[in-house]
Amino acid sequence: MLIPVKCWSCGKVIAHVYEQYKQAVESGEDAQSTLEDLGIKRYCCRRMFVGHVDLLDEISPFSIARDQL
Amino acid sequence: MVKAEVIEENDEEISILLSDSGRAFVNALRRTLMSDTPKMAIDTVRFEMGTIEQDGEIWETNGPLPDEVVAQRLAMIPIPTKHDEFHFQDSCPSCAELVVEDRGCPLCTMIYTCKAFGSEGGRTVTAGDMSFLGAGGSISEKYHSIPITKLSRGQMIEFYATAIMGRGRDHAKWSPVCGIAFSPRQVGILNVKTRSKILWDLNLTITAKDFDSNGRMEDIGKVAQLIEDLHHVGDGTEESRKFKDAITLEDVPGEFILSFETDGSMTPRVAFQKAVQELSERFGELKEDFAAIV
Repeated sequence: MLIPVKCWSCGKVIAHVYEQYKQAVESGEDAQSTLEDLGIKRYCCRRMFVGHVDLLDEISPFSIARDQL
Repeated sequence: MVKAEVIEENDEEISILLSDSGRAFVNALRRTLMSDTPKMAIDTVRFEMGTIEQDGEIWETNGPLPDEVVAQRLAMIPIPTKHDEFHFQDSCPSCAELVVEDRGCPLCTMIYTCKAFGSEGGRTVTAGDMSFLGAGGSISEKYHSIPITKLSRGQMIEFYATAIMGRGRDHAKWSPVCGIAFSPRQVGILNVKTRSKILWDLNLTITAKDFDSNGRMEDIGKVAQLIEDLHHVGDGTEESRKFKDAITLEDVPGEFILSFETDGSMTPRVAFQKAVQELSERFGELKEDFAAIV
């Protein structure tokens, strides 16, 4: 689904940097150095990024307005 | 009397050296920071439901995420907390006397609104789309990119979110700190000069010059670096066979380093001051109760 707003273990707010992380990794940058640059230091927060799968786009076609179905 | 000295500080992180203290006291402070420091967080969300027609298109209050999930995400967004402007609802000067359902006034609540429409490829609704009803309560620009939900064409969302003051012991959304930990302050002791050469030969950060004439290292920053360097000659390394205890770390009695981050709702200094205030009030009450009995 969407990236969680906070890290599940330590509670740090992480969602605001997810888009930057995604763009950097998609453009071929190293995930480790990107996370360091974004200030994501602890491994609990890092696993939130590397283990996340964006599924919202997959399910959104199933929730469109009724008259367009 | 416990002394507190700020070692390192920025907008979201702080390290504090507490001296003349004990492990139990520092832990009490840590737990107070997590669960008793007052903070504003979104507690109630009113979603507007229905269908509207605008510019020849029909928009329905629908989306891929259920309302409960959206409300949970809203609760996690750091709301700027001004302790001197807002009160707890149960001690609000203007509405504390009312029944719980009727409480809520400009002295104890912050209301945010949002009305957003989807688009063809999907549009992410973020924390920046929420506007504060009033002045000075807008969500920090740094956190504007927090995604709330994503809407496709024909989907819209409209809600009124109410933030109130609370404590972390009731829900994690009211906990202003994260990554909070403390450790005893340590000093480095150079025991054997000849064997220490194994570490210097690795060309890491710390050198023999960093120790004073008595073979001690007291600077907090350098000791932190020394701890990192010692991993290269510690247990499980080839060097550890010869290095043994050439350099050791010693705890300083009564001195602890407390470090934590905040979620952005307040500065770490404010969180620390509030936690100290909460803790002293509680001990003050205990003292009064005890005096009344004895």
